[in-house]
Amino acid sequence: MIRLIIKDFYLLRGAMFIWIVAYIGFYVINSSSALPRFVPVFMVFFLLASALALDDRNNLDPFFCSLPLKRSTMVMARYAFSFLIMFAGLLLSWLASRVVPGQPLSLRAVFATFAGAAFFLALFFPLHFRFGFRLEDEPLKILGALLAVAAGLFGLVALILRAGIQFSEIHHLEIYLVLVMTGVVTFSILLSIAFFRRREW
Amino acid sequence: METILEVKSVGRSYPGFDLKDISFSLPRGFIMGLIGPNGAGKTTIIKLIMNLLRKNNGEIRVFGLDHIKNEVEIKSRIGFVYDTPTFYEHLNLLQMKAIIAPFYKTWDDGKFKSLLRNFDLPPRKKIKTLSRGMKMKFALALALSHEAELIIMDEPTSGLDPVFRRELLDILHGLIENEQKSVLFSTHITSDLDRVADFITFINRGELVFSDSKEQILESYGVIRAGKNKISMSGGLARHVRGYRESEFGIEILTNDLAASKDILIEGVVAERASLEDIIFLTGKGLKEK
Repeated sequence: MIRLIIKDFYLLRGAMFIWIVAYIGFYVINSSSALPRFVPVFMVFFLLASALALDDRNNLDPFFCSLPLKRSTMVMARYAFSFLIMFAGLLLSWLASRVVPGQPLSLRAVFATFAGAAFFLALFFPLHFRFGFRLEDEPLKILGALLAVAAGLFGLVALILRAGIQFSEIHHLEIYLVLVMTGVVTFSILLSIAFFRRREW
Repeated sequence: METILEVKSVGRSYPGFDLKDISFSLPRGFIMGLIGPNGAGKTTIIKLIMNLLRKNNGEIRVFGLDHIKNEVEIKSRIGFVYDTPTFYEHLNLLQMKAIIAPFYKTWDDGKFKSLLRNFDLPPRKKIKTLSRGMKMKFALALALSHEAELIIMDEPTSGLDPVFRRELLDILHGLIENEQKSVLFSTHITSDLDRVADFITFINRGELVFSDSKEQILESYGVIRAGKNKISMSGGLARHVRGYRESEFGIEILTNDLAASKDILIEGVVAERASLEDIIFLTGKGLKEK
């Protein structure tokens, strides 16, 4: 699994470097704005989409399935890579907010963003592993639309959490969220593995 | 002889296509050509062996192991080459190798470099600039650098120019010299089989026509050529007829037992050994309409 993660980092090293440099520059210029704080989230999805598109464009899923690899390993490596870049992106965002003058990002806001992104990935990945990256078939378009709606709802929850509105007084909210997130992500991984094992080329 | 690949009564259904009850086996140290017209089911069989498609029934054993239960072990001992090799096109050959090599415990870097030299492949050339023939050679270099015992290739020669094709076939022939490796490759070009195959498995419309040694096939199959109305396909001959074609000049009949067919022929009828092309072309022809 580690080799697959290293492979993704290796392939996207150029894109990552550009994003990090651009982000730092953007943050320095716009430190007073809240916008730069969201840039790592975009960065995560951009990098993930790039990794998936790269494999898909070159038709490499069947190629990797011909290597001595379990399909479950391939699925878990993709999840691990996504969570690693997500974590790295948010860490970068949090560190930047500490270094650059302005209102620093709270850890809670970082956590909420992480949770929102994790939910999104948990919804997206099973579809990806079942159908691939291309939204060509009609049923997939419908699923894609449903996914977008669901992602929007989760994003909204994440924003509410970020703002600390409504739920701020609930004790140990983060613990519940971690439990739910762990459950959803675990279910998503199992579903993705089952789907990917059934995938044919 | 040790059997390296065994396919037993394997079937797979698609809408509009059925692969029915396919059985064959490949001994170690030999080359088997999987032949049939386009759409016959050759690629489906190869994908079933590689578990890229799921079979509906039957059993596939590679190195004596079940191909699904022991997938990782089996694939570490197989070199697989797609009909259109796919790689990260923006990388060069060494970068692509750096991605693939760590997945094989038996990877031999020295051998890979030597294969690149032998195949005239420039290591720092970007994959997107390679021709189809060069990509095929690169895929073969990757497949051979981890001491694969079984090389499986799907239509490796289609679309290659004659020079590359001959070169590739020579490489395949060279592989089995130490009698430790075996090769299974699909093709619809009969001259490829003439050149290198020891065994031939012929698939037509999803059904196995025969799977036997090339010598045995060329020995037993024959073509009977006669003028119109000179020959009747009833009686003794009918048992051996595997296909026939009528034209304005006469009739061509494919028989799977040339010796037996010769005995029942009348004067003026020519019976001779069939070429692989005759066999592929005439098999099943005319019988449906009969």
